[in-house]
Amino acid sequence: MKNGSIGLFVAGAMLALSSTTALATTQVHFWHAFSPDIKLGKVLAGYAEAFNASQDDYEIVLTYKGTYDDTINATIAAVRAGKQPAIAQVHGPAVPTLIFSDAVVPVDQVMADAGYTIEWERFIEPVMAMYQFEGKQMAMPFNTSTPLMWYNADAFEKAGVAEVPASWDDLEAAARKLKDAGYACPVTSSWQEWVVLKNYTFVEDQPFATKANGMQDPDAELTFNKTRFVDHLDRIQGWIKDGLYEYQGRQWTGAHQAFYNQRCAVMLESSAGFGGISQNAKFDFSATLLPVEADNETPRNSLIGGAGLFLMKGLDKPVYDGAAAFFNFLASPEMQYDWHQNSGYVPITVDAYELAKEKGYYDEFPHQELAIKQLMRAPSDNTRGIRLGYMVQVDEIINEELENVWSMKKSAQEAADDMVRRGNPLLSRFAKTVE
Amino acid sequence: MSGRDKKVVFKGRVLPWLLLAPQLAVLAVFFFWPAGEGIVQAFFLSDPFFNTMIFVGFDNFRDLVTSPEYWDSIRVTLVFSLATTATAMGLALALAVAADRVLHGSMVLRSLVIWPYAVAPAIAGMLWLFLFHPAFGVLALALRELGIDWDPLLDGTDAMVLIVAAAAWKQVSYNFVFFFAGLQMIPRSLIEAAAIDGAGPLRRLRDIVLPLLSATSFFLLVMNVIYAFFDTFGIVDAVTEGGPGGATRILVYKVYKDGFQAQDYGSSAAQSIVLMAIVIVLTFLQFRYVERRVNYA
Repeated sequence: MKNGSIGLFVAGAMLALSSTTALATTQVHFWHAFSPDIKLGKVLAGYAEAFNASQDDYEIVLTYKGTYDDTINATIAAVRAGKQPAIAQVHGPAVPTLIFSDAVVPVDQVMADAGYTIEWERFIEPVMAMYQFEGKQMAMPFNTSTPLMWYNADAFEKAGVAEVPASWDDLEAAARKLKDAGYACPVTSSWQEWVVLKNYTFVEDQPFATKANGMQDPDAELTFNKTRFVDHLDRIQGWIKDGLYEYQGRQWTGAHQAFYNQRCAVMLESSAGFGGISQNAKFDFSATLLPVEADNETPRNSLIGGAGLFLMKGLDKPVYDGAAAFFNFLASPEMQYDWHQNSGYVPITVDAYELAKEKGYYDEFPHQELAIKQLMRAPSDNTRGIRLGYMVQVDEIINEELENVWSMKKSAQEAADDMVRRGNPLLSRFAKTVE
Repeated sequence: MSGRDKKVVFKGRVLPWLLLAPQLAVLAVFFFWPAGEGIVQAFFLSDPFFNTMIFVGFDNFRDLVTSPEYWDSIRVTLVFSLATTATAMGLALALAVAADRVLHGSMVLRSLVIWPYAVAPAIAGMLWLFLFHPAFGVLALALRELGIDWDPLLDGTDAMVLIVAAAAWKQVSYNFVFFFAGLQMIPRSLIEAAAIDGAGPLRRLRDIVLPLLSATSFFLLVMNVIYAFFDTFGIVDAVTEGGPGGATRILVYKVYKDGFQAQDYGSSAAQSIVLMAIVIVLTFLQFRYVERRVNYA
């Protein structure tokens, strides 16, 4: 009925479009969430310009669509109206929505059709795994980060913390010293559901949900309430009671401000936080790997954050060829090294990592290597990724219940049980929509 | 029948409909159509691209009413709306009375009070957050200096106070304009007569000004309740994200979050229907019980 006529209209519109664009360069529309006012947006614009200047066949047309949420909503609306862009930048929580949808084309297929031979095994595994589905590469990773432990080195010196903490027990001991030295907030974290919960289950090789965290099948159940995570949560609740940890809000602003003004001496935060920290911290700071449990001999890779580039279905072959050429351009070691340096995100290929090492980049910025090292640890079924539906709502539930732990309203076990009780119906609802 | 009487006024049936058509078209396209789609959506479980649409009957509603958190959201919403409406109207009335008495000539000051209305809710939220965030808020740090234990990140009451303040602040200007205009309409002679009879300012406010403002107040009550129920998600999103522990998770914020961030259209649509039903009932009650006391003289 209605859809049929819309389809016809779209087909007609696209025919009209393709007949006009065939004369000139093919436009490849790329919707993204990096404001042109900030450095990331400027770097991206520079890449599009460089690519457009490097050849005559294709033109990447960047459109800033607002936040990540704005971008995915605009993309969904555009698909439904038949006016989708070729490339859309999609952030973590919305990735399953696109992977299970009928609205995208796999990147590896498009690259192959355009005649590019990509050595996918040269890409960093946990980064790529997040976007793999049924043996296909559904998206190209773009901006990728992972949490690290940032610390105020001056504070460590003042408090007599000689060794940088490597285990959670070490961190607790250091926090007590920092407390004694007068720091009101020895430890804090940004993005708590990502750092305090998910990354803990990854590094400690604990399941977050069944079916390899939904990577095998989204009809999974949350199980972290039966793992060591509960002890970890209990420990941090104890830290709050003892004044060793202070909650600074769900996102990053509060934690960063408290770190900058030296209220908090240790901040568990994304590797991509480097930009802000380096500009605002007026003290000697550094970073190290996320702490591990003292008895954990094989810590696993941490969980990535950030966004990937999806290719939307229903466009003409030249458009996809243009997108493939652009991806090929972006994935070159030189471009990835440049991206790594200018954005603070990790490179997505081993070759780019090796190039950065070769150029001595990590001698000057050693913490930039930490994120890659942490991601290149051998993964297990618990750490290949998380692919569950309605993750925005699940994350909200996790945040609410974590706050109930921090405010002493609930014990760690009660809160973890409530997260699972409230989250599981959402997972099964989502699973029904993709079967 | 009475239709015949109307024909005396309007010749033919076409013209009135023609004159109404533009407005009706706008209503149909921007209100009835999306609202209708929303009602349909509430009975389905779908992916955002509508490739899969599973009819689930009343499941989306059942999931809501069986969730203790949802009932808590309704309670939170009532507290928030009551507090916001009372604060916004109370402050606006006080400001309007003050402006009417003291700032009679000052256009500049009167205009300044109207400014916050032009601020987008999300921006208003950010402003208040910058003032009251426990880690970097200027006023929060001042409160801490004074020994007041202020922590909207973990104390639900503090968080509620913060979003009520932000939401009310934005709405005060709107209310002020109406109250101020209402005050200007009150004949000076009435107030002067009361003054001659020996009524002090408070007595005059209670017995003359407020009754004569009742129509304005009633209109503002309805508008403020609607504002608090529907228009405030931007503030919550910017300030508390519904936290801590759901203490500020008002209904409209969940509608927005589940619909526009999580793409859970079925539940979001069901929630918006519940929300609309609550507001319809409240508006009905207001007209039924409060409007009786309104004096439209």
